[in-house]
Amino acid sequence: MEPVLRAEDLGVGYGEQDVLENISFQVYAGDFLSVIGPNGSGKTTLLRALSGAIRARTGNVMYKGIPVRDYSRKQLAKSMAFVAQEYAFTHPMTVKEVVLMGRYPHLSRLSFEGPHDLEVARQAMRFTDTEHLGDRRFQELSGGERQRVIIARALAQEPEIVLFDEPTAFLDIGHQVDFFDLIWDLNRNRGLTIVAVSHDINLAAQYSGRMLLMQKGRVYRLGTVSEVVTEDAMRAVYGKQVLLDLNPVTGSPRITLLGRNQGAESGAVVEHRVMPENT
Amino acid sequence: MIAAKPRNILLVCGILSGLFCLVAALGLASGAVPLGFGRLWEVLRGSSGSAVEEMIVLDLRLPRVLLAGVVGFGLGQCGVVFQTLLRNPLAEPFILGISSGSALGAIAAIVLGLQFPAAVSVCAFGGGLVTIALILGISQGRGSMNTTTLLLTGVVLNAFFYSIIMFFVSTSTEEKLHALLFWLYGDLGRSQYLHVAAVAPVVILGALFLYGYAKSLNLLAAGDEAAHHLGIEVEKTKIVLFVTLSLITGFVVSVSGVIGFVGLIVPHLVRMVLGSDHRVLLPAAGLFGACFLVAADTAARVVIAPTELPVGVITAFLGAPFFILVLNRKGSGWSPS
Amino acid sequence: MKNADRENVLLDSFRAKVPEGRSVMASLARAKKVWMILMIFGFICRDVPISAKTVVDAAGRQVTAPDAPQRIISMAPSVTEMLFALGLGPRVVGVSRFSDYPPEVQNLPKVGPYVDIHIEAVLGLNPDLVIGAEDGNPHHVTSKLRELHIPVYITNPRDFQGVFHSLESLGELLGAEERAAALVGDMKRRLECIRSLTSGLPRPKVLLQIEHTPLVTVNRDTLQSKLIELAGGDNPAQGEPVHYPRYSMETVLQSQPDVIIISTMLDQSSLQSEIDGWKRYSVLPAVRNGRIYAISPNIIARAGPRIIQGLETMFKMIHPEVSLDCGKAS
Repeated sequence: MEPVLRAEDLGVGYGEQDVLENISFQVYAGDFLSVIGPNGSGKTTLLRALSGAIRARTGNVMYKGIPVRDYSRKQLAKSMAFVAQEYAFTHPMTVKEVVLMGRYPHLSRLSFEGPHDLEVARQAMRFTDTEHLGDRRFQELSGGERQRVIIARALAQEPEIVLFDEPTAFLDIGHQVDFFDLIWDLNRNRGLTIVAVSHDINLAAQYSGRMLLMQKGRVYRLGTVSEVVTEDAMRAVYGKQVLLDLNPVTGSPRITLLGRNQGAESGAVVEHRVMPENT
Repeated sequence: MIAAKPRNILLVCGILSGLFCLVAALGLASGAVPLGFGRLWEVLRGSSGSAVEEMIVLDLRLPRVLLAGVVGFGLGQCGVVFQTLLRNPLAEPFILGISSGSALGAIAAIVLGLQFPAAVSVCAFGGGLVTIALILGISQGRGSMNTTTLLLTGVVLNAFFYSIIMFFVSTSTEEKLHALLFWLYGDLGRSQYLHVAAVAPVVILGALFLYGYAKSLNLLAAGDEAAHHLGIEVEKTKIVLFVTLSLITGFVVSVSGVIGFVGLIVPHLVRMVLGSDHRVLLPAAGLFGACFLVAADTAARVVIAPTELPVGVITAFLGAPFFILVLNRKGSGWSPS
Repeated sequence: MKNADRENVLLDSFRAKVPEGRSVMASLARAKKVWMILMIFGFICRDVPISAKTVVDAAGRQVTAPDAPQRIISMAPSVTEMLFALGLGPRVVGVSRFSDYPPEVQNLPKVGPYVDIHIEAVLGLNPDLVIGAEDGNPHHVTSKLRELHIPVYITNPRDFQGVFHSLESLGELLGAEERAAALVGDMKRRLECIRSLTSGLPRPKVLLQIEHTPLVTVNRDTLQSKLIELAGGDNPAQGEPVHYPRYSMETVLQSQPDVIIISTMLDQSSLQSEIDGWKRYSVLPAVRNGRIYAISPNIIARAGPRIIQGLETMFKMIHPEVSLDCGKAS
């Protein structure tokens, strides 16, 4: 099967400094790939390189078999959406206006949104539970509401793949769960391919199909959740003692980071350790 | 807030065009020699029987009203686009120093006594273009079209140009001062049909061209990153827009001098009433800018008649307090980002 | 005269002492510096002149001036012209920047434009009398000069009477009474001639344009407007509140001037394009009848001895039908 997105020996740098090196992996249609790693490991840079926002210094990003840099931005925006962690609107805009922007890639320079575009936008808003916000100003919304509106805008693009850049960074834990529920739903029920950068390893492990662990601009490990979220990998990449167990409900691996005085040597923790192999 | 549908846009344009006709009629009827609407109508029908009044209306006021309309239209539109491009509520055609560059060109032509035809206008236009080239050169040299770099460049160029202007002003003879101040305050007192014919095509074609970028501007208002991911070639689009704006500004300044505040107030007012969709905002700000400047220029002609004020004095006098009022109003629109 | 010669000799001998083998420019600069220091020192040590007199100037101040001042500085073009007309040119050592008449002033050192006199430049010329004009020289300059113990004499010529008075009092102050009397007598005779010629004549409306973009004219308080009245015309803008009002073209069309006089120093071709600019206003009698003239601002705006020339020129423009030859007859 032809991968939707493929990084081939990808290298990216700013000025003298290399940020990404020798990155190769594939994303297949219907994947839910979470990218994790410590701060500065190059997660966001990788995501932006995948979207064509920054140029590869070496290697290539192939989207549907064609280098992503060969697409015009408009062409790409018709099937690839990007949800950033912050939005910098200067003018007051209504939620409806914001969501309808997702239709722009499908419109010619002078044309207006037709009935089909309005319908797509309405469905996107229904799906993200933002229909009732339509006439409110985007700037007046709460963080969680804004996040949902931006996802609705991405959905209005009718994309095949959506890239998420730490979308939960500014959400409280309740909204973080809501968010993952939402994109899991998109992945399962709409067949959307998802690549999400996340700093919350447990939530990512709970929802995603595959994971990519990054360290210092390179891929440390790529595989299924239980292949990536292991005690040795976590310790190697994050440099901290971890307690690894299984989420009692979902059965996905779960980590707890331990501080300097809470390590395995203290003994008390060891009794609770449940190794995945043993269950 | 108005949804950007063709019907709504036509409606808004219709209403504003009607307003423009009203303001223009008022402008034609008033001045140092008050005519009133009745007399104006007779003059326009050619039945006034007064050659002097016909000349006043047709040769003096009409070109002036038309030029004010064209200049106001251009300034209103440029203000909208500058504010969006620079993501700054204070941005207007003059913040980047384009207008002071133009004014410097004009003043240099006067002081150096250049004598080729339309020397002053040509130098004004040239000054504006050189400024844009400088701005783009400096900010490109620093890597990208970063907003802060652009604004800082503008501020620095403004200060630099004004220092040269003040040098010329302080060393010029007294008789030339009036002509120099014309460029500093903005003035429509020398309007002729020739000026209208020179500037109107640029402003109209510019408006059509900008309208093609209305949706792109909506996206740019949502942030460079978002615009990029929603299908805009951000850098390229910005450069194209900046060059268009400098063309319009250069032409406008070359016939009117530096008229401030129009490009600042008009976009804010229109945005407050009609919302931020550029498909509505662009034509509405153009038309409203036209109305605003015709009204301001009429005031400039009437306030201390038969002496005339430079229209820039009126726009700044109304503009500054009004702007503070707008800024203090809740929901004036600009979110600190 | 003798004093001036002596100073020149002094200067020459000073210059002669410049050692050879150094660049001339550097030597000159050094010589100038030493000279300046000597002069400033001279100011400080200077005694009150032995023969001096005290007069009251047009600003109402008592001025103590030397009996026969030998190093005079003029701070206004009008003053310069008066001094030269009184035959005092050789005693003038410095003039304001735009003093350009008579031609020999062009070689004199300049002390800055009259609205912005450079005090250091004045000091550097070591004057024993500075003459200024109330209308133009800023007060902070004149008061600073007085603080530095330089006698400052202020004239205030704003019209014919003012010019007469200034010429007479300068003549008295500087010992040129006879010359002043002759000059004033000639001017008075020519003025009287024009007065007699214009009485009873119709008074055409005369618009004086001193600036084109925007159009700027003059109100009744200016010398130019007074000349228009004396030359037998009416200034339609006489009632404007400011001296040099911007005037709307509408008002020009409504006031229907019979004569338009452009006050300008433009060369012939630019002047022609200026005149052509008026041609489109054919509803104006002045345009229809081709009565657009140009005049040099120097003879109508400077309250000096040449205003009689300005008045006669204007008279010929406003009343070409009357010949100007009563002067010699009477």
